[in-house]
Amino acid sequence: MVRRRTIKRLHKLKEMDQQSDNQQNNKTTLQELILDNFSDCDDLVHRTLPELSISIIYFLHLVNDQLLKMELLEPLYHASEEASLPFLRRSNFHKSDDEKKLIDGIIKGEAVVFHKEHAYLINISGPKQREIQPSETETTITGPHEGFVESSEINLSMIRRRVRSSHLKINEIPVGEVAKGSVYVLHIKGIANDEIVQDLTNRIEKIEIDAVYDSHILTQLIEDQPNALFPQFMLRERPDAVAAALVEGKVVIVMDGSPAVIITPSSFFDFFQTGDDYYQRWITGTATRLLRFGAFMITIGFTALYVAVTSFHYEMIPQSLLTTLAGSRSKVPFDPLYEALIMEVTLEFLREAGARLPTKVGQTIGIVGGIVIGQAAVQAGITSNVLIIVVASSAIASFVVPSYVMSASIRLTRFGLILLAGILGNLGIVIGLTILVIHLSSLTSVGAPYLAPLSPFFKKDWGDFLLRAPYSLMKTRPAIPRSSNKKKVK
Amino acid sequence: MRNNRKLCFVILAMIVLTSCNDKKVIEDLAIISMIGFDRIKGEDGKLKVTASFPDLSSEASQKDEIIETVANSKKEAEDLLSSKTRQQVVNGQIHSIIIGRTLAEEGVSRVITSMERDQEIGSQVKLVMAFGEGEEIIKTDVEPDVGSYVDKMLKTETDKFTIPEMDIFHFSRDYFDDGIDPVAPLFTKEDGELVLMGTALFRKDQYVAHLDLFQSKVFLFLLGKVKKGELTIKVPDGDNIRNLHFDYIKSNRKIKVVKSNGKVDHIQINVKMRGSVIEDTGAKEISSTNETKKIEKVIAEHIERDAEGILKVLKENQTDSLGLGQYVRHSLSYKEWKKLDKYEYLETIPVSVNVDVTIKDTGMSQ
Repeated sequence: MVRRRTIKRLHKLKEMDQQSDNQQNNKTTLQELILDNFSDCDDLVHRTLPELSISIIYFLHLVNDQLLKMELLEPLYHASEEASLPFLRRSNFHKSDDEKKLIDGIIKGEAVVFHKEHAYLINISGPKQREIQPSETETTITGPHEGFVESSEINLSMIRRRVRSSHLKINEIPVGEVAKGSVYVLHIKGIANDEIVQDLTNRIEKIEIDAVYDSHILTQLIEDQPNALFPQFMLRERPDAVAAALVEGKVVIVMDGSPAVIITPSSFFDFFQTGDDYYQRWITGTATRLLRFGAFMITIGFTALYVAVTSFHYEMIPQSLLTTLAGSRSKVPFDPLYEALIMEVTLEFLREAGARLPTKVGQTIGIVGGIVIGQAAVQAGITSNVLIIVVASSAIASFVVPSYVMSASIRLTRFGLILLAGILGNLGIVIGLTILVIHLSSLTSVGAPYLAPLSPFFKKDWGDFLLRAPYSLMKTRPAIPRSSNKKKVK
Repeated sequence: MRNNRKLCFVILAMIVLTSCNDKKVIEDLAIISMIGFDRIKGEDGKLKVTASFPDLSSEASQKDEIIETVANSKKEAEDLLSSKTRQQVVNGQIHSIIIGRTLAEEGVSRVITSMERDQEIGSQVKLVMAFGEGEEIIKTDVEPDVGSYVDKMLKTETDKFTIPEMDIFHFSRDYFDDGIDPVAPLFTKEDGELVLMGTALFRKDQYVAHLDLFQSKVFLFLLGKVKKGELTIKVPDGDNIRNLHFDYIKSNRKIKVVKSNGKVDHIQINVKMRGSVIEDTGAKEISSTNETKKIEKVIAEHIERDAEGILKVLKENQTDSLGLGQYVRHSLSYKEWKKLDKYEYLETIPVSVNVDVTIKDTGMSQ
């Protein structure tokens, strides 16, 4: 609420500014207006060459020095006092008399050249950004290694180079009231559903916020159900995945300043797919994908099952395991529920600490965690051996899910299931899973059912769901993007 | 509004589902793996109940503890057993129950029905009979504990088709069925070791007689399909005794009720067996076709003789362990069947056994 109020106040201030600007407009020149706008900006460079009746305005840290020298300063030294400067007619100069455009240009790193009454914009932005590197969160063994960077220009160029088609449409939408940013909505005309594109554009345009720093924030602003536990928009850092999504008919949102690109509509099962599934042979691809779903089951339910079995359903334990299980539990003073919660929370501590620490210190965490949890806890009789195995395997399984956002959500649901298992046993697990399924099936991603193609049942999409069928069998585009062009090859 | 409804549902669930809270933390349990029932002589109607459960107080020592009590019923016994340990006695992991001879002779239905009513006990709990006292068997010192030892023993033996597989579900089904009597594996203790003795035959729920191990094998393929097994057959061969080791891979049984003049004349049991001869201590080579034909006949005759011996035991004790009554019932109308005195009838009706042996090969040496 407070934030919204400040935004409103800002709006008012702006309007007042603009009114005063308009009043002054008659009196002062364009150049003075702009300089007035950028008052108290000490990093603004304002050079004047009165003999050529030229002045240049740009931000010192937003331009590339070499480009500035080559494109602007060098020609100026050789220019003579003439009515019109020939180099201003070059293609990289854009003539503009709109004050707003000029200001936006300067903010973006362009330079404004004033010559007599006219103003020209030239893009000499720099300095260089992070180079294209393999994505750290999404690595593949086979397949291309380039990942997105923070610059949307480079990202868009990477996508364009993969989808060489005039049908690939890019629509730029500004977001953020205080700090301006750009969001690009991409789709392939004729394949993507226009309604979805329009819906997303509307949602982005409606955002009222000071600033959006990353596409992860953007997803939370435009998701169907922002309060749901699970992410509904998928974020990928790989141009090949994004290109594939575009061709499938999905809509892609690129945000300036973020290496994660939003792919939508996405279903729950999309979060379990990786590039390697497609680059490897279909049998291996299918096997690894099934492995991933198995890991999902283990993460969700293994610890809960341990708790349920040890505190309610001793009948379920195989006879040969009974002695081991009960023997290792015998020294533990806690209930299985508390025992499991202690271990799970400790493991989450370790994971969180490991994720935030620099690598050199991070190694210590691994050793401390391994020794303290793996051995000392058992010897001290705080936990049982079997629980260590259970917790460790479900933790490892949680990292098998390729999307970090999704695996975090899954890890959280685990705690709910453990609690229910500790209170009601297997009945609790069933109740928990039922609630989970109800929750998942009630979610939508830009109107598309989240559990598709499982529910609603889209038979044709099963080729790329639990399995990764051979390409010769995947002849239709998935149903979720509601593409108008269902067949893959005409 | 919608949220309110959800909240109501959660609260309702919490109220309704409270009864599900019967926590049984594993290390606080005395998990009984085997339980035995014996009749105490002299005291009227009292049972001696012996239970064995693995001691789980530490990983290192895995000895089984044994508790025993005397009670009027199984449930009462459970309470009394519980008062003798620091843990809570539970039944959910009982794999086999053993019944002593004195109780078995009196009738076991009381114990069986009580076990079946207990929802903690599954219907796959194995039923075993002790030739002496059940208590003796449970007190045998075996590794890791007597429950899993007997369980394992039963599994390997039933897989080899030496003894019939019998759980309390099958036992009570055979008990209530109008044309068959139950059987059970029979154990005994010899020199402090557990020994499988054979098959105990019941008439209704009362133990009447037993078959030894060799007879049990023959009995099993008279009873139904057998997937594999082996028999060592001794045949007189001149002055010596010829040992034939017959390894059968398949056996099929068919029962035919032959009627004449609307009355059951006799019952025919046809058994077809296929297998190979692995061992032969005879003087002659058996690779020739004539010789195998001869051996086939020898084996078939031998088995037939054994089968007749078994049928004699069954008839003497008026028990229908082979379920011949079922076939007779099928061939008669309900009224006629109802009129029959089944046990007497089965004693008098002639039963012939016809065994057909096919020898597939005579081993690797061929």
